[in-house]
Amino acid sequence: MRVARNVFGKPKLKERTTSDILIRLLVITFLAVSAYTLFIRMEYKWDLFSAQTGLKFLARFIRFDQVPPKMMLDMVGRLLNTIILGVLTTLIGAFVGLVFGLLGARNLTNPKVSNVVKGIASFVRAVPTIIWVLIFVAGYGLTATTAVVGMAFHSFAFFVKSYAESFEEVDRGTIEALKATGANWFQIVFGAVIPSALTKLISWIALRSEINFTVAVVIGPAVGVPGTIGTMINNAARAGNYEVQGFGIILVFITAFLMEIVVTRLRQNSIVSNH
Amino acid sequence: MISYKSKSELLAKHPFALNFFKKRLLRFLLITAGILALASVGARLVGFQILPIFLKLPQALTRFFKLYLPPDFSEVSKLFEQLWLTVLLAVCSATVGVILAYFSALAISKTTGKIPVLRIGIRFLATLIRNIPSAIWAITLLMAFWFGEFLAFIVMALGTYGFMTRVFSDMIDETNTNSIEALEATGASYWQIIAQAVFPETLPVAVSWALYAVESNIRSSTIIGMLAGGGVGYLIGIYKHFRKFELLFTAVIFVVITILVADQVSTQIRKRIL
Repeated sequence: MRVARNVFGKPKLKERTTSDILIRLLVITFLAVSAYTLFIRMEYKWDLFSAQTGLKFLARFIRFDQVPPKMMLDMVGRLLNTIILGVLTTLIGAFVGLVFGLLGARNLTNPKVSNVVKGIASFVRAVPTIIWVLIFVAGYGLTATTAVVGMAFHSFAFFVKSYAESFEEVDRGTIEALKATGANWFQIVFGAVIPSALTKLISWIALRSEINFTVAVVIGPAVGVPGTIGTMINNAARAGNYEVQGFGIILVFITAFLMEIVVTRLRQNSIVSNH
Repeated sequence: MISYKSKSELLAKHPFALNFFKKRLLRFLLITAGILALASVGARLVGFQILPIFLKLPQALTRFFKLYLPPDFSEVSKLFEQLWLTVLLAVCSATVGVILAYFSALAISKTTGKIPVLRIGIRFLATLIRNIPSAIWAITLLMAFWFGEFLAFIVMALGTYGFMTRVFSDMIDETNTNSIEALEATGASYWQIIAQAVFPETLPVAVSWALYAVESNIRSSTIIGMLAGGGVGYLIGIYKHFRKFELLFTAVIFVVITILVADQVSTQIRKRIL
């Protein structure tokens, strides 16, 4: 048997496929672009960096004893507000997304409708959440309602995509068997499709709740939604109340961490494909 | 066998003998009602009202059109420059984040992590980084690094690192342990095993995740740029601050196009390498 050899005369153990070549190309491109960006394009003036100030801030960051108890209570309240904003966003997004997810699933509608719905969803998803919020703020003014509606747009598109994919994974045979018995569309959807995709749907909701909490925190500093923990952290940072800022960050961290644990548990029960 | 003449007779004897579907429907309705009740309490707490959104729609639309339209294309060259920077920053931070995350995952994974102290330390660090939103990182690190591209790079890299450490440690946990054991039996050193068994098996998945990271960094660059500086988000932040909404609208159009293109490119490439 002739052994294939590479340019250095060493035997090739494995035939190289297009995938291998593509991966090599990507790795080289990524490294080259990174090197260019880091060392040539970006001229960071290291005298701007001050480890000393950073450390000084850090020391004040964890002095929670200097945060007045009344302030702490206020902050917990705002954290609760932020969580509620996230949950409302998720609920609205999940509900509207469910309706359109059914229309977007290839096995439940005709391909034309599915393509249109999925196209709209991927367009809505491409507009960053913060832009949706800005657009709604321009129309309605800055309130909690506008923040929720703006955030819900992005969630809605997320749910359409993930729900449609979950519905498409439902066993074809089940749907056809029901069709053969003369079941109508609603009977098929509520009798077979939703029940068999339910665990997946729930784990998507859990995953999105985690994301939406983060978004609800972030929306504060970026737009200035009143009464959220993000706004409070931002104001504290600007006013130099580093203890308050540090405490706020810890609150956000604990909440996000607890959510992550719950979501991981839920996802272990029903493996959602990578996303 | 007990037989009932009619359904009403059965229900009279066993009031809870509803059939399976009715039970399921009842449970579903109860859960829905519970969620709705909780949501309405929450909505009242934060002052969320859905009706005004529909009632004020015409006014809102006119106000929006007046503010944002027509898009102003006068600063397109500046915009393209910042968009290019955004793409560069996204790729660069994704690469750095992914490489660091890969090594961290090696340290914390069950199959390859050998030093317990390092395992706990890195796991803690990654959890901390992942669960603090990137905007908060931007606000906080601003004090030490100052506004600009470099801060945007660090914030995005942290985001990638936090997320990918979790993904990669799961991925390495799932790799085939047979080849690792076979190499161990031949007396290969730790790094030889990593290079010959773990790395080749996980590289395609890692690269595909790196593409995903680039995509998600471009998506989040708007908000990070607003808060940390650097890239198209910085420009959008300036437009928003000075209320130049026509220019902002143009920027949004090009951001959306960039995201759609990045999404397509990354999906197509991922299809081919996996």
